[in-house]
Amino acid sequence: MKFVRIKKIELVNYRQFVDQKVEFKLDENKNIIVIEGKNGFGKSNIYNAINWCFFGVEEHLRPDDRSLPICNTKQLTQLKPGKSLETIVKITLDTDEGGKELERRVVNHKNEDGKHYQEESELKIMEQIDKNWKEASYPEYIISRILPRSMRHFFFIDGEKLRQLFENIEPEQIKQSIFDLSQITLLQHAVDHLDFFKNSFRKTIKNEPNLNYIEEVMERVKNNINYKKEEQKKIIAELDNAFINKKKLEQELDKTGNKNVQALETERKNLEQNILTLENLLKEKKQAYAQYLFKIAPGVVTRKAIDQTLGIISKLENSHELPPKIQATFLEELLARNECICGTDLNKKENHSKREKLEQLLKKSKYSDIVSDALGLKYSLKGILRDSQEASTRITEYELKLKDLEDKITELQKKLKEVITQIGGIDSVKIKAIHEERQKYKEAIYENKGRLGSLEQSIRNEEDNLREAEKSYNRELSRKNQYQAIKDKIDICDESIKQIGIIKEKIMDEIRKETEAHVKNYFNKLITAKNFEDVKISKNYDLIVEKDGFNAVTSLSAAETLCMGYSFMSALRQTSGFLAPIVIDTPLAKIDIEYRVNVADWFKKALTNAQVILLVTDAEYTSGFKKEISSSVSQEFLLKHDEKNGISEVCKYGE
Amino acid sequence: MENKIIKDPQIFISKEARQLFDNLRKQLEEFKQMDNKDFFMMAVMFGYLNNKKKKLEHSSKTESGFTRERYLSAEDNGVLKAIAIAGDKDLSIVNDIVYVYSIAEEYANGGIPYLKEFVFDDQASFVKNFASEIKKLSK
Repeated sequence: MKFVRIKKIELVNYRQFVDQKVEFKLDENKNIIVIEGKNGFGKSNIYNAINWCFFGVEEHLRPDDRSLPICNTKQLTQLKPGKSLETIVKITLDTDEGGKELERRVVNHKNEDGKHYQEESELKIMEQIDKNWKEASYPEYIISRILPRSMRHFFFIDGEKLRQLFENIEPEQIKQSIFDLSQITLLQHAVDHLDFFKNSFRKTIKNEPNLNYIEEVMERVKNNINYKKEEQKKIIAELDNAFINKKKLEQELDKTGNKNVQALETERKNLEQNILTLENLLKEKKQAYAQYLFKIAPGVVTRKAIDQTLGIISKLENSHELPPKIQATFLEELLARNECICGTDLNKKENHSKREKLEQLLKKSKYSDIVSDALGLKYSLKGILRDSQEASTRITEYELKLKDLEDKITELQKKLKEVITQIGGIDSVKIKAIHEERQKYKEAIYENKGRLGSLEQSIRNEEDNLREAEKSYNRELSRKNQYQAIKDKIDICDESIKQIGIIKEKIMDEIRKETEAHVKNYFNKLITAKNFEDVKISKNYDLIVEKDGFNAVTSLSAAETLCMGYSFMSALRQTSGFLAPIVIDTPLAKIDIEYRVNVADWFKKALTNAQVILLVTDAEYTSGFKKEISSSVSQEFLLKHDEKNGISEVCKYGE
Repeated sequence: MENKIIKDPQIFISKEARQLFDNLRKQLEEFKQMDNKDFFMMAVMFGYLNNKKKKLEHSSKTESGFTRERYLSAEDNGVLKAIAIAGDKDLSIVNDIVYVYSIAEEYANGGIPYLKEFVFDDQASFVKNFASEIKKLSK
């Protein structure tokens, strides 16, 4: 679709909204709609309602709402036993292919004993075809054409979560986003099918102890891999959780208002950041050192052979055999023609001595064909020797630099330990409790990172085991002629899987490169201080923000981190080619004033081809920000909340 | 000497060596970024240093294609040629790259046990020990 815009949102008995209709003006020149509301007034539930209508999930529930049913609780309480309450979220879209109405509803029933239960939600889509409205037979298909489920995070964005995600982004998460964007799930399905067929072919072979045994081993390894991958997901979720909780506790410590704590916390943060920066630098320097060693070592170790070879070349040069005075081919030609260059007939007996002389010259010219190779080798070996002679000095230099860095890290770690002890020693029960809990999360992060590392290694080992087992199976199968047909089929599956793998990698790599270029472009526009040298997404899907020659991604400020998140999401969105509306909850989450103008400018300029719905708090929607985006804002709404009845309402500004 | 011209010839190592390299890559941080050709050169070095050559048994069960000429740098090729020329005391083999590689393969094959011992003797200090060895030799 070329464009998709939300025209109307209707909420019936959804969370704190009882009967709400919000109509949006569709103005091509003013693509931003602002909905402002205080915390708890239902801003995030509008974001949730849109997510729920499209995908049946509520992405950003407040902790208080998590245990509550989706319907309006007041209506549910008033419901008589045996009756039902329907919750509906309906979104009317304007697209280049005509109007579409997305309607998701769910029914809550109240039993005679007063207990209630909720049915599964249902999605219905009406499509406008010419002037008629028709119910779509496959609503999920329509949704996937508007916005595939796996890509919803690039369009429906929670600013605060986005910032938190990018504070500790793992290569695996970047890879997953690129994978989602590449739309190669169909290829993955094809691999799964081929794997399924391979298994079925193998299963037709009975009473072959060796083959059956290897097959069992393969099954066991596959189960191990699946189990470990599930574990991996759990650890990543635990890590995310620990990061978020640690951050929250740090904010709580900040809020205690204790000046001493605030000063120590600032020192702690600075120390942690500096340690991290130095540790990254140390890691890179160690890699560079190892690479230098591996490069220089062959020349150093084989110096004797190099000296001897240079000696051989030099000797041949001194005896004029290298380069030879006369080319061997020329001498060979004269001897074959039996006529010297002076016209002497070499066949004649009296000229025999002349022939012998030519033959001797030919022997001395045996190096004719290798002159350029030999001289090339000579200069190459001289260069290797020069580098080898410097090796000792260079190694000492590297060692000193590494030691210096290690000492600095140790010193900072010592200071950090002291600061942490001081925070823990502050005479306040509350501060102590928060500090201790924070330390627990810190340890949990450390422990989970270690667990994740060893689990990933273990997955790689299992995958190696599986490949080895498959090879053994195929070898065993090749020995039995009666299974040739099965072997051929398995080979075809294997070859297809291999080719699909190559295609998948190529697509992922192309998308990675394209995304990298967009991220770089957006990030440079968003960040005022141009003190970052480069932005890259490495082949291993590491996000790299280069500063002074090392990766500063983990040292970015909160605002820079959010800008990186926006840059990445916009890049993915642009690369995807989907033009679904963009809904952002708390878009300025903790962003410094200096960046707000850039972000506002970015909303206006980078997202011109999409409808943007901003769900902002009153603290975010400052006069400065308002002024900056005003030329692109088509409408402003305000959330009003009736505390007594727990009902919220979306009103136009000024109503 | 008549040379058979083979485009981008392959270099072989024993299956045992491949297994060792795979393990090293998994176990040591410094080896993670290493290419196959770097491992090969490392094995050659250890073979040369200990003056140990061992013929590869040519069979799909015992040997494994590991790297190719195109992955080797000019310096790597220079070193391998120097080893072969110095060994044979004959410069004419300089452009017989297949022969040069066959000598290198023998050194690599012979060097594996020494490399293994060197790495696993003190895995954590591999880089430190390796650097000190290189420093000693370069003086």
